[in-house]
Amino acid sequence: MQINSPKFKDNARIALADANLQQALGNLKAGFPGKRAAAIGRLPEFDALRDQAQDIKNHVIENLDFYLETFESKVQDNGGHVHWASSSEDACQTILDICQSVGARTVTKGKSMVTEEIGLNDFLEKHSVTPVETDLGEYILQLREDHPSHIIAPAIHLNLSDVSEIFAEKHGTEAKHQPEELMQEARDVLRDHFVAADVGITGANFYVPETGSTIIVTNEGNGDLTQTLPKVHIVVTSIEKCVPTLEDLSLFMRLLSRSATGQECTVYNTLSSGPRQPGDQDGPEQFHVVLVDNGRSSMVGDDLQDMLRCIRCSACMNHCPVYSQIGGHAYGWVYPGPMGSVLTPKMIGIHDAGHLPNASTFCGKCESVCPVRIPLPKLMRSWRETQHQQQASPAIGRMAIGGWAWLARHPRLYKLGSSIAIKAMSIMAGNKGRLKSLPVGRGWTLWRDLPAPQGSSFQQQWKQQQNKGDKS
Amino acid sequence: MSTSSQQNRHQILSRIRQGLGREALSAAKQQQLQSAMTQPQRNLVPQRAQAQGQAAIDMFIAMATEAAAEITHLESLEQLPEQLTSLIPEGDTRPLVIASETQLTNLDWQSANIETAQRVAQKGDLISLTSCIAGVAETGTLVLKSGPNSPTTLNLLPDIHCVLLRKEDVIGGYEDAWDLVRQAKLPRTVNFITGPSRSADIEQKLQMGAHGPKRLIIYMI
Ligand code: SF4
Repeated sequence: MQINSPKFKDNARIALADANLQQALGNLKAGFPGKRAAAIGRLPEFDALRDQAQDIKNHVIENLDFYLETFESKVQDNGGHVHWASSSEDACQTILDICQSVGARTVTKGKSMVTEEIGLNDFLEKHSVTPVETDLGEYILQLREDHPSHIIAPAIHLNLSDVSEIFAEKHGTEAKHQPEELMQEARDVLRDHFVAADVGITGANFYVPETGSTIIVTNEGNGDLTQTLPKVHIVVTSIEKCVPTLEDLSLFMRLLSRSATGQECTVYNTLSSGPRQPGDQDGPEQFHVVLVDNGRSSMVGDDLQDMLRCIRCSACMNHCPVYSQIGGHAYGWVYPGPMGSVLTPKMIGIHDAGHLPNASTFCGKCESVCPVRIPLPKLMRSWRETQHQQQASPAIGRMAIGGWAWLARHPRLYKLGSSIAIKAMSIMAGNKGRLKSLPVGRGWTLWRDLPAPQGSSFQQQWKQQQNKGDKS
Repeated sequence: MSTSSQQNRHQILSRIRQGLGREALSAAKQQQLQSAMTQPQRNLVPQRAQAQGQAAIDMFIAMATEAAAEITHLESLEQLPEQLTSLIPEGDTRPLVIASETQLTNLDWQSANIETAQRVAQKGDLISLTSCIAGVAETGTLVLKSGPNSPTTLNLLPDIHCVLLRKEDVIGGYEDAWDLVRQAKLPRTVNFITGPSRSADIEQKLQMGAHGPKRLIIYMI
């Protein structure tokens, strides 16, 4: 996928002025957060489950090499194949090789963010294999030559009329205006693809070393048809998606559906363990798992290690005040929202993704809803530090911080400076006590007034407190 | 495995170990992790997933209904053919596709005037009938295993999926389901199914019947 993250600021400005997008984003705000809260309200143990999930994932990371090897040998015991891919190119090539080995012309695909990450569709098309997305949202996007703007609700940036138009154009049918009619039309068209495909490609929400299984979690059933009907099933997943045992899976199933859509349980939770067995009348004859690294192994032991716990539930973006104003495309690459602001710089480089960790108010909502308690603001802050160290942040910002740091090391000057500034600001603010504009920081005062400092300064108050303390 | 896959494997594992600041785990430590996996411990099981008996059955019915599954109570299995006739539109000659289990195939379909077929599901099938290994009370979820007599396509392709569930097979939580799965050889697929297929991909408005069955009907005996 083309990288548009360097243009984040422009993207965001355009997004804010886009009435259609704003209308579509209204659906997000009205939906996910309330449903999540309601579902969690019905499960008193939810927070305790989050603690356990965090511990399990930390344990997985500490022993990731062991679990990967165990998973590999279990898949082989079940009659499947495991392929290891260090980079996107490795992964795409591996998948293409499998497709070509069975002479595949078309492949159906279940929804998978890892395949977006590695740019699989473009690669396959370039090599004369036609991928067909089967998740309704992904299918709409493929027709529009568009990309997901959300990790579980890929077409959240679109309205009914967008879908209606593209279906009429691409299917050559009369435009339909009811969601159920449009869905029926997609169902009919995709049935033929499901049956005709030579290979089915899905992602995996989790893999389980205990049994050598992969799990997909969907509401539509498209992922299940994708993996059941063709001769070959390829699972594309990334190395960190491990839950050691089926017992652990139970815990993560409880967390994922509630954190994601606010459902008690997603409709289809499907455990796949290898190709069809003796006597089976359906199911794939070949079962392949492609384990994608793409930079993840180098997150082990570094500042971003906590991010490897992520289960891609989307709660962080659903609750993010920035995401819900600008949508996912503004972030300019595959993963949007807070989790994307942490991951994207790792995957495409901080140089291109520098705006993302700065596009946060640090309100902390993301961390507070994350089912595996990833300290997202802390991780974004760590990117900001990296930028500062690499002098990749704007020069003016660095100068300002440098100036402040110098002042802070000279308390007398600091005190003098701040008392002058406070006086100046209260004079400027007049009796309203609010500043309508500032000589610097127009970006702030354009949209709201700045309250002028009132009363005594922090240092003065501190001193008073200390004095009081001494007396009592 | 291709050479590049092998090289990548080596690279990925060594980078992980480097990040963890250690070599491969010692044999003893590996042994310890292995046995933790062969005797998996339950994590916290929520109270409601520990329900049993009538409480579990009531919860199953409430949760499955909430997930838009339809529940029909039967006194006995013999009533099933008669019940299914109401699902078949007049003049529709498509057969009812049933899992090849004797408890289902032995029923008197002829008297009910229902033509049956025992095969995998195909595009265009209207109704399928299967059993399941359990119903999980905590979320109203059905658990189905693939096997020679229970092709997975039956659960997915037809417009209406009918499932026979015996009350004694209602269990509290997911953990109980895995215990049942572990009693036999691991099948190719285990399906946890909670209600009929759906999508909210168009304007976040929930529509039933996306790619899987449009109706999920549970016959409880
Ligand atoms: S960071 Fe946390 S909240 Fe965000 S997608 Fe990952 S697991 Fe979910």
